[in-house]
Amino acid sequence: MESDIEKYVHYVTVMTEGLYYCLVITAVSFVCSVLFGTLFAVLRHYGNRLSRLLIGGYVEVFRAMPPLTIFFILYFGLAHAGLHFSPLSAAITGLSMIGAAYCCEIIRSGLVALKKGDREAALAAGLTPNQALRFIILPQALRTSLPSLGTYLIGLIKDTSIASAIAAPEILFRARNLASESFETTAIYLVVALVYLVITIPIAVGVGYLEKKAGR
Amino acid sequence: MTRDVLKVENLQKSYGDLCVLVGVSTTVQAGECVSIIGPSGSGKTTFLRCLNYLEKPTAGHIHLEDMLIGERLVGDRYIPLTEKQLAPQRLQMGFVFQNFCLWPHLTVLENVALSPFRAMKLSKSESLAIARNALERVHIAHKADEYPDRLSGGQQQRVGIARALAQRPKVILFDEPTSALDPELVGEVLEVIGELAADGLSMVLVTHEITFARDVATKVIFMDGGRIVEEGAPRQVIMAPTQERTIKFLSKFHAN
Amino acid sequence: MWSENALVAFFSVYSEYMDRWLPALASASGTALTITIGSFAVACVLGLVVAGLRLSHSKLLSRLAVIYIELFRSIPTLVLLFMLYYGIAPLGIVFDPIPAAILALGMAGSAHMAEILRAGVQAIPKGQREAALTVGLTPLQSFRLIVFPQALRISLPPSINMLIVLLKDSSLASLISAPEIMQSAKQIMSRDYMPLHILLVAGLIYLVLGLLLSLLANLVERRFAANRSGR
Repeated sequence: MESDIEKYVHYVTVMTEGLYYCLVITAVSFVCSVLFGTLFAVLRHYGNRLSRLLIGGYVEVFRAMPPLTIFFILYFGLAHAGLHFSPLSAAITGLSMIGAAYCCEIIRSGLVALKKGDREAALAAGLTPNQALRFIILPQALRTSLPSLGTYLIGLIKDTSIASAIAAPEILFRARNLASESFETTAIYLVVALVYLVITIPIAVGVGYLEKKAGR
Repeated sequence: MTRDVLKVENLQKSYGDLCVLVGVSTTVQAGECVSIIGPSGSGKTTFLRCLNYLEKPTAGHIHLEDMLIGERLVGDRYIPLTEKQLAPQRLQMGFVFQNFCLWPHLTVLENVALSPFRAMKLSKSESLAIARNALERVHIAHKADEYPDRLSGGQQQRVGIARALAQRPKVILFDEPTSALDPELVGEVLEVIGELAADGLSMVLVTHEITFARDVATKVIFMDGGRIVEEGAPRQVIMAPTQERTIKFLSKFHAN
Repeated sequence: MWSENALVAFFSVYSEYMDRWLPALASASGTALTITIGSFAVACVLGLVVAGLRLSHSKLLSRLAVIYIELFRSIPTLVLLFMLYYGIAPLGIVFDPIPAAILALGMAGSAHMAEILRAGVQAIPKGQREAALTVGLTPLQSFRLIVFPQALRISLPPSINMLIVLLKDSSLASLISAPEIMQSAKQIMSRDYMPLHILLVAGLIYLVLGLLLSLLANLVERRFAANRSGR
């Protein structure tokens, strides 16, 4: 019979592991989402009709599908077709694919908000279109997109909890295992809620600060 | 003897450390058209908005005929009124906004009939009749069923005036009624205000239109720095000012 | 893998199984829509109350509303769902899956709804409120006749977007065994296997339902356009 202290140390260890994986999933997915999102946004904003159509289609599909469905397709569905994902990689891939769709739209509205003059001034100063994009347009678009990207980040952290359904080793998955071992469900779920609160509220505060700075 | 419609005693207004009204006292008699002129920041709009307690004065008292506005006297102490208690008082003073402030989800007729129907609690038919009359008086009855966003600025402002008339107020307050209008639309609004003045409606007008003040007003007040600098008949204040600040303010007007 | 034969084999699975899958998926979609619309109703009612508290003059009530909103916007919907279904069961309060889903999703949605309504009310220019006071309306009348009707109209498009989010969230109810689309898909997967096929169909259903709701959103937005003419 474990003592109370051993029990709580066990809980804290397990939850901390869960938190670690949650942050790993979030960080990798966020970076991938922003990178691909920027790429898609540029292709959609400056590209030809076909690219706009394809990326538009991608965005619509991945914004309409529930994350749970995407996780299941990657983890169960593709396994049948021979492509095996681990729970962790399925979670990261799924969240990145969904995230790319959201970030594409966020950054695209940042691009749209830029005045035409910014690009023309860059070209007039002798920069190639590529350089204008890299040094003038994208940095500005990204800066105005920061608050919305912050809001997306919060949504991403919350969505990692859904990956518990495919056994990704994050917080909720660990919590469910603990709950079934120990039957102290009430306390455990309260702690889970607290953990998410603690991680997301600083970001929410940051977003609020950014929005105020942008004068919204 | 003509009675006082409005009596203002030592009105003061400060926002924290910023003193906007230093101590303003004046009267408006029945049938008078009082025009307040002055440079930006002189406090004239704040003064007007204090009259119907849209801004709460920090000191001073206002009487509308015999009624104390915004406060009640309990023994020898003045207790401020709640917003709900202010409503029937405000009903007796019309207010016309610089930016018209019509309600976009209601038609012109509904905008004007709202006060009789909801505030004065008259019947629907009576309210609509009053509204139509008011719209006729400002020559815009033909637009009764339109929505405000389909009207020009001058037309919207005339609706704003009709809305104030529908309250059957004892006095109408105008806050720079033509400042937000394109120049070619100013005339139609000033014409309507002039007609109302000729009909004997008591009014207080904050305006930049010095010509109008000279030709239509029965009394002109020049304000600067939160106080009344000069007060009197137009032919005196505008045409023959005695105070240095008044002369300076009007110099550009006289140069034209 | 992408040979013509493989593709034909892939799609022939559907002709074999679809008539078995369709009835199950149809009723599952009905449940999903029930959860979606039910939680939307809860979110609207609760959201209205919380928005009212948020905008009240009482600092205490306003702060309580802010705490509620931050709480329900920070905690993942799935965690809320589990708390409601598993977490409070030891305390004696037991919910069936569908009511639990409607309540949990509704509470999460109410926080967003409160912010949508707040933005709608604060979008009304101050001058219109002042004009209402100057014509002798009380502050309550001003809110009821001038502010609220317009705020409602402004809030309509973001509210319909929230409906689509709730549709996606309804998939989470499968994790507490509610008989909706993903649950049906899991049952079919275990009985007939063919996971990729059935999951793609499930995804397609969400796409189609989402598209229908989007169309509804466009229709509503055009009908109640939040431009100045209002009607």
